[in-house]
Amino acid sequence: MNSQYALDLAGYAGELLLKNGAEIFRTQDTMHHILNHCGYPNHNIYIISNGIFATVNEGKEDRCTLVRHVPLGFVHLGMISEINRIVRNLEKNKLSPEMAFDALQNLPAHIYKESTLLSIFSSGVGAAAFCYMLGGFPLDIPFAFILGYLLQLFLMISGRKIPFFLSTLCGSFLVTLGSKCFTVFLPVLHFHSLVIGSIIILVPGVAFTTSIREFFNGDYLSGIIHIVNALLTAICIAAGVAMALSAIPFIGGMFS
Amino acid sequence: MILQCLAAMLGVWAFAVLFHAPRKCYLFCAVNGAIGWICYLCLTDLGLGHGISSLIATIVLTIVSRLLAVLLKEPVTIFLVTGIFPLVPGAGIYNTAYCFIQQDWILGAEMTIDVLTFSGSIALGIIIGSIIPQKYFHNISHKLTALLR
Repeated sequence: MNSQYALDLAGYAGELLLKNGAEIFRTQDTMHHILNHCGYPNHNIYIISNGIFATVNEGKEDRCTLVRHVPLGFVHLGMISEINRIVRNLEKNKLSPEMAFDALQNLPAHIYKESTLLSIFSSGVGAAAFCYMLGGFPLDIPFAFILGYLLQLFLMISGRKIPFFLSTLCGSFLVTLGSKCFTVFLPVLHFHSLVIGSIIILVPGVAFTTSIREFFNGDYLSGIIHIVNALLTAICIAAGVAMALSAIPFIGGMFS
Repeated sequence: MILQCLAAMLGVWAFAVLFHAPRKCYLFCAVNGAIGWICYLCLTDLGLGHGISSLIATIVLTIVSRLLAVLLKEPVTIFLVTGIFPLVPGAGIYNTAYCFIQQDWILGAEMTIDVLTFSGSIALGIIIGSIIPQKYFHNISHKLTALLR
């Protein structure tokens, strides 16, 4: 196996990991392991949140380099776990590098199959559970479920067409309006709990956690990229809620 | 309290599904999240401040996540990212926006500081929980697997 193939394999694994929300440390470690296993300990890898740079056998005849641009994507923990398993099997010699490459390339197809309906449903369940946890009353729960359900539906439909921040903004705007509608027709419900429960779906918990872990591992630049992402998302949520709250009196005025 | 525990489990379970965690991890994610949330609730019941409670809860959560990760041979991220959600100040973001729209600047500023305190203590909690060297977790997992056999 030549150096090019080894680097391609490492680069592919790294790109997949990064795209699905793994930390820099894990990605770098995985690539080190792959290259060492393939017999190229003479390598250099530099990774930030949205890019991979690597060289193998610098200064020798079969040197090669790799640059990948990896835009921040959606989190898919199952993929990270699956890639982890493949690389571990490669290291234990249960898989040859060719088989590992094949397995990696076949991953997306067979893992992405589940989801949509289940994840929309679970988003509703999440909204309902958090509504109860953060001080909601039993009667609020089914409505938080409906809001969470609709919110995730909206995010899924809009996700591919409009930018991420805009869909967050619209999402929190619509959820706040929806909660107001419910409370207008059913005054027993609690407006605050409904909103708090359903916007939890939008809260940037993953970006925040990842960023702290990057900082801890010394990848400050990547940490900053993630924390800025988290901060902007939080601001978008707040702005969406604020816009809806200031729009509600006008909408109410139109009907009365 | 039991209902809160169940709600936390359900909520974290939902997030585990949303982020496509491996199926066999769902239950562990849920338990982990519930442990963090119950820790937080108990500590606030004891009269500790919100900041310090979420700090300690996050430390416990991080340690449990790392233990689970070693035991199940899965990346830590899976347990940590899903389990942290009950502690993330989602309500704080809403309250801040609400107070500012009501033109209650003082309460709004207070809420902003609240959100920052929460985020800061979660960050600190994850860092403190991550400081413990990995080899201790390996030792514990070896002992546990030996016991189970």
